Amino acid sequence: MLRLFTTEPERGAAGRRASGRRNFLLQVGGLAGLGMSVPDFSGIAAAAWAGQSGREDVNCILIWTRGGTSHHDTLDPKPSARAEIRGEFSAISTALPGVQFTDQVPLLARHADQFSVVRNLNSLNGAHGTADAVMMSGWPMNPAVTYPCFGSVVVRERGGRATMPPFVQLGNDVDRQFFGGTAGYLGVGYNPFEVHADPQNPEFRVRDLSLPNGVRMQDIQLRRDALKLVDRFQRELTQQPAGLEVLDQYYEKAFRLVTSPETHEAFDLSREQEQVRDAYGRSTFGQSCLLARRLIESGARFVTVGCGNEQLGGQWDTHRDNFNILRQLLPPFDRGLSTLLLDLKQRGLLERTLVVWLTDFGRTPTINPAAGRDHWSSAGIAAFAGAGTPAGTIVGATDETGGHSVGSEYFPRDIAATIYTKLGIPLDTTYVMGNGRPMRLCEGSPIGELM
Amino acid sequence: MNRCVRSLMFSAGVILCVTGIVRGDGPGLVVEPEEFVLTGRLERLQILVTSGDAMDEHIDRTHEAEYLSLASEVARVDAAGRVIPLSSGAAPIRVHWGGNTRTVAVRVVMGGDSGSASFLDHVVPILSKAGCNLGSCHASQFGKGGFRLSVFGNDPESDYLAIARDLSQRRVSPLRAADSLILRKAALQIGHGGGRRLVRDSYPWEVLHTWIGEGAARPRETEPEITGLTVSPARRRYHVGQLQQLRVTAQYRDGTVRDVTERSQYDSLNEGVASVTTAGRLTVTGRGLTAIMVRYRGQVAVAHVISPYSSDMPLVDFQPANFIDTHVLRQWQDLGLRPSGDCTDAEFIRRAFLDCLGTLPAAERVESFLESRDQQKREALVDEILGTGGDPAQHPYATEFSAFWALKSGDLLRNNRKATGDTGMWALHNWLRQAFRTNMPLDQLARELMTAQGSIYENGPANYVAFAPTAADDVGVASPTDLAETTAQVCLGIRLQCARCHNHPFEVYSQRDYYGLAAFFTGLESKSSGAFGELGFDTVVSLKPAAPITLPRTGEVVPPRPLLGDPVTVTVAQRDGAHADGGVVTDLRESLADWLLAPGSGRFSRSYVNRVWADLMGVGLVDPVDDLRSTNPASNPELLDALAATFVEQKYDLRQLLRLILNSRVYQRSATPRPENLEQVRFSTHYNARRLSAEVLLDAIDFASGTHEKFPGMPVGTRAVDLPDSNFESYFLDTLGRPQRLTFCACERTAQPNLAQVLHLANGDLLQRKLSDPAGRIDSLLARGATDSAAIRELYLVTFSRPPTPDESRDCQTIIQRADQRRAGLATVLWALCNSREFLLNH
Repeated sequence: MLRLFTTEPERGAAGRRASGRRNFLLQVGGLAGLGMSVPDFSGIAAAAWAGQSGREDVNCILIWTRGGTSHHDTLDPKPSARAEIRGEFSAISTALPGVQFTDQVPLLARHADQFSVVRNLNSLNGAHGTADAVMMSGWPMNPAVTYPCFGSVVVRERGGRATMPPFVQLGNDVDRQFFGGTAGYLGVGYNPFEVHADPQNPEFRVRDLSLPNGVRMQDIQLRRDALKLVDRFQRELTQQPAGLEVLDQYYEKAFRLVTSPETHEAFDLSREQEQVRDAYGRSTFGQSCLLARRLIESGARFVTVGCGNEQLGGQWDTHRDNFNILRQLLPPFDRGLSTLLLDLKQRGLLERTLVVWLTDFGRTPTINPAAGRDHWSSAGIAAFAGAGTPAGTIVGATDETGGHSVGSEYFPRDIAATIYTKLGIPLDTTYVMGNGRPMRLCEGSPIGELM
Repeated sequence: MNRCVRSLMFSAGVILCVTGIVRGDGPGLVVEPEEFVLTGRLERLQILVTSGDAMDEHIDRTHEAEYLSLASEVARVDAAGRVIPLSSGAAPIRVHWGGNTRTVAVRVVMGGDSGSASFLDHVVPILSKAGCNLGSCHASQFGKGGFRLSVFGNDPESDYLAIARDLSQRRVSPLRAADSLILRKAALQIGHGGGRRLVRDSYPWEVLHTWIGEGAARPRETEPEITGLTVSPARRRYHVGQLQQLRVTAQYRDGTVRDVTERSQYDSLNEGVASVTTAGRLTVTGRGLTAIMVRYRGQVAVAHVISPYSSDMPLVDFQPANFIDTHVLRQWQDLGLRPSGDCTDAEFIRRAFLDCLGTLPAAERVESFLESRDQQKREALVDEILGTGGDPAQHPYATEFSAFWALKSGDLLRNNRKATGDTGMWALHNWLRQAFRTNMPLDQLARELMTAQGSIYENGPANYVAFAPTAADDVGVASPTDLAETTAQVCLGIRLQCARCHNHPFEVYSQRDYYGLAAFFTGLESKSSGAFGELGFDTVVSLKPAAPITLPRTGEVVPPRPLLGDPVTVTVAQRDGAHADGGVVTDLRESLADWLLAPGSGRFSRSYVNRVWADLMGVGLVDPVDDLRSTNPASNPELLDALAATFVEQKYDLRQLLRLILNSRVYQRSATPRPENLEQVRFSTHYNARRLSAEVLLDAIDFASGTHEKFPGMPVGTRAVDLPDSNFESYFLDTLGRPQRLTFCACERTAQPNLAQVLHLANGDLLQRKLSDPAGRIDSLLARGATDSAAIRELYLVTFSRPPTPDESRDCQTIIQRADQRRAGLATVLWALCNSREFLLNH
């Protein structure tokens, strides 16, 4: 049923690596190693952007289903449990002998040998908002400290490539109430570049990258020339003050982003074949997954794909009518995620692209009177693929009700350790907060089965 | 509060004087101390040798002098002037330098049966110094490698158990101390994730070895409490390349003084000026001002390092206008700094408007100001902006002034409808605006906030204590600990959060201080208006008998006590929950407010003037502004004290404070740094240019474009600085760093540039919308039939607050001609002006 790409996949100019045309930023690059306290030095972010590692680094796509996706009703069904636990979905066989998913994720079931599932994840947290902060950083909630999310750390450690923003968040389904998915104490320079527009929409435009209405590309050149003539403040100084130099660098970078064909092509889904777009599914989530792949190809290092509906507080939060809602949500999710994995593999990108699916937490084993499932922190799922992750591994198991892990369990800190290790970031990395407090990057251990 | 710490340090200094300093005749050789008693084999003494000349220049000779112990069986002395005790007795130490000889009378008293090693005074400090009990090592949440210590040795009893009892006592082997796991790991004789922390046979190794060999005794309750720490020399001028040995002594409740140089931790506050070794020897690496922070057992002290930029700086052309100038001039002379020249009148009017009102001056006002020949026109402008000309009715900018300062206060108090509901948020906002409009004295403002009660809808200040965890919850009273942290940070400029869980790492505050402050807020309760038979969702804050608050670790009840102050007496009736004084409950917060605002204490005034200084000068005298502590000294302490004292004298009048600063010649420096001051931000050698804050920038763009941004639910004409809280959706404001008002940290508002900001400014729809608005300035210029040069002149006046130079005017005309339409050309010029540094920055 899922027929991908009968022809050689199209490779637009977006696939090309833009080389560093200007290296003035590189001179600043050396500062990043000075061990300065993080938020005090805005220049680091600018420097990081210019880094040209020359290595085929591992990148990451994080799928975030905001609200808490039921583990029972997706990748950890309990077909032999009582009806009030089992729920309305039936279990189906997967590509892995003896492993079952629900009938709502048939494509993931068929390709279960392409990725690995963690079934013994204890999120140690049962609230929204904090979940985004906890799961995307690996740290318990701390109202006094906002820990940086994975993507921000990657930018801090690895910098950017080409002209692409290195850390992009697609959609706004990351709850910011407790600053989840942000750079936290690393400083705003490491926050994600957010694309809130819907790539499924034919009018999809990227805020501030696409030209505003009434502005043409040739107007940009006149603007640049005008700015050069008008912007004389302290230009007479032989050496530019640090703050102003950084501002200049961002303007240079902004002009490059706006005018570079690579950027626009990366965000331009119309360059994909129709059948590819269809394969991902004509849904916001499916097209976001496709866009994530294009961005990674064009030089982004970390792309978060938010999946949910911010206006509705995250539809995955199925306190009521769990089964009917999931019947709506799961098919596009199933299609988008499975196609992403196959597409990355087919393009040879999966070896250096880690794909992780995380959600707030699991949901209650017992179905409530409103036909919903409530928050459940002590058991939940995560999925990993790529970057050397053994495919087709099922890590851990839950008991017959899906309420608790049987045997060992893993925690958000271990998820973080796994991601950082796969991305080549040492776990003993230490940052110094603005107030002088040293902060460890991670206190977990990589999940052995996935390494 | 800083003053408390100072007086503490001062009294410590008295003890030092008793210990004595040897002053030679000749060219001045000073050896410190004159006499000293070493008790126990783990004690050490650091001798300091200083030569001085008539020019009052002191040079450290400690590492050049020759030392000789006259009783080598009692004590030996090494080349660095460290005395090591060997047996009981007297051991005069002879010191030779430059043909001078002095003698230090050392006496050694070896311990009795109780052993020489103290867990508190020896073991914990060396673990701290070796970094073992950092949050990133064994004091992390789960410890490391199964070994968990408390943060900074905060909980000695549990540390003792972890070391001496856990792991089947394998960490210590009293019979073969050198084989103890803790020593072998730390010395990397076997694998240790943290690497080598101790060198075998070094002093710290010997401390642990001795303690284990003596039976690994638990912390003794009878040990005298440590009361203070003194570092010598506390303040000295150096030149680059100079070295200085520091000497640290600790004072104890029983009058004992110990030399803890060897066990103290040393950190430089600015490695660019001075670095310091773990042995407490500093090297001056650059020019400027810094301090070495010394820590020992929860006590802190600082050694100030002054390293002048040049030796002689004639500053005759700088004529002080008031005491600010005098203090800053003295510092420039001390440090050998030369300031930038005077700013232009155009720069002055622009920055004065932005700093005091958060708005750009009207084009006409700029022109009339520039044309005026009045010698006193800057002073007159300041009075006009602030309404300080003598006639209170004459304040044409009262609205702008109150809006801008209410915005700052709203940030600081994190006024936010998510915490107190729409009506509560508006009540506090309106109260703040009214307070600044009527020039309410700031001490009164602080007191009303701190002691507020009543309806959060009707009494704005009551929202200071009101808080709802989420928007869906009822508004109640915030927890005592939250209110303690808030009050410390907002009113005192002290970050107390650390002390909630462990002793403050850089300050003397302990958990007891933290909970002592929290205890003042334990007498509050709230009722929803329904309980009073009223409709709506109002909350009423009222008093109740104070509830006891306890230390989480020990359960000990902590009485209300201001930071480092004396406990406030709580009557038995209050403590037992009954109403005191015939049904009248005392508001403990009143006594806290009294303490905060006590005349001469400088507690509130120093913190507040520092914030205002930072607002106007770009950086606080103490930086960050909410981190006042002895180990974060002000760049110009005398100026901070003088400003605070004047602020109190002028009855906490904000406008007078602003007037004072604006009229100083220091404030009126150019924003262009001299080449040698390019990296300089702390000494006011030039005006620190900084980006306009989010709201001010949005208003400035509106002003320049002649447009009005519409905010949801607010009438047209509402400016961004008028918004009562952050809950008005605006991508521009969020991206440009509007704070979410979730924390009390001033760092929440950021002016750091980042790519998203620049993209939005340069290529965003907001500016484009303004440029193409048919009701905006461009169309107005066209409708008025303005010539190119007239149009360019107006555009410069409303963005840069100055007319263009002939060159600039010509350049802009070229741009207009290059565009395919005149309108597009004018819009391009305005776009470029709005994206220029001269517009984006307050300079």
